Amino acid sequence: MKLIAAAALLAAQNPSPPVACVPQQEVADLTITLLPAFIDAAGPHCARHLGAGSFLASREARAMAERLRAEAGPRRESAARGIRRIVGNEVPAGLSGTTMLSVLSEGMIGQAVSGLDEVKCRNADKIIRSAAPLPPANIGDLIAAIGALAFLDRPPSDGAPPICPA
Amino acid sequence: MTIDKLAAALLLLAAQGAAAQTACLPRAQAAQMAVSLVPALIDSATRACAAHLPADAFLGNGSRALAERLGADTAAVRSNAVAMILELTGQAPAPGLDQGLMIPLFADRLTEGLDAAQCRGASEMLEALAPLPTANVAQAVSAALGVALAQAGEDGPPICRE
Repeated sequence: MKLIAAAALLAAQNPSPPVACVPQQEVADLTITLLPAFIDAAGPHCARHLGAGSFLASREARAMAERLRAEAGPRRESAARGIRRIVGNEVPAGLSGTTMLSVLSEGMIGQAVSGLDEVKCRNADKIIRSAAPLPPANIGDLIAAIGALAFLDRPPSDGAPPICPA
Repeated sequence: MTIDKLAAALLLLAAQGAAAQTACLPRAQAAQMAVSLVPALIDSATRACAAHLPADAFLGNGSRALAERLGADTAAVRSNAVAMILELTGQAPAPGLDQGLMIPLFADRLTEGLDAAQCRGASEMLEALAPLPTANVAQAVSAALGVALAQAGEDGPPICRE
């Protein structure tokens, strides 16, 4: 969800016409595509707050990231469509969706991770630890479904497009 | 009634139930109590969503096994959840009344009026998390409580910030 918030922040900085909503499948694919890098970056960052015994700093977390990464390849095109909807169409001409995904994801993840204080690290650690037994597809679907339900009554306050209802 | 409102209601119940016992309810305990109410919510949502979902939707099919497992794994704390409801509604336990009956009534109230989009979303969310062990579901709820409490600040329910 932090990643989605970071994407929304980028969208707010890029005044392109908003799209109606982001399909859940694209959100799920974006989650599976970006989560491994988030885990990789959050591990050492949060170890400063949580110590070496945290899940994010563990071998299990790295294995989870690898499982997700292995599933991400075929999802990158869909994830790129999702991120294009989030940030809008005003991207440099000639930049492919997947290239844009690579460029933006680094900044988004860096921004999301740098904002993790001790409490947020602890919560992120618990959420990712609790989701670790799930297959990657379920993790993506779960984030997409929760996001869509959260936006049913109200769109995101920052102008980002909501996630489409199921 | 959306999922965040359901979560808020569960939070409130957990907080109210705990208030009489301790200054604040440990978050993990509140989460476990909230999870103990999920089977009843699944049953009620199944009925409320029957007209909105296809016959093969997860809610109404695979959700039964999920509800049974969550119910069995949280049976030990369900009586505390009943106490939460009584505390919230200002009622005393009625002698001879099966307090377990309170939970389905409460769940029916929370799920009545779910629309098609909410039903599909709930079904998909439950399907995605169904493979998780109960302990992981409780852990995720606990972390979600932590996020919600951080946003609520000191005005939130009396659940320990930890």
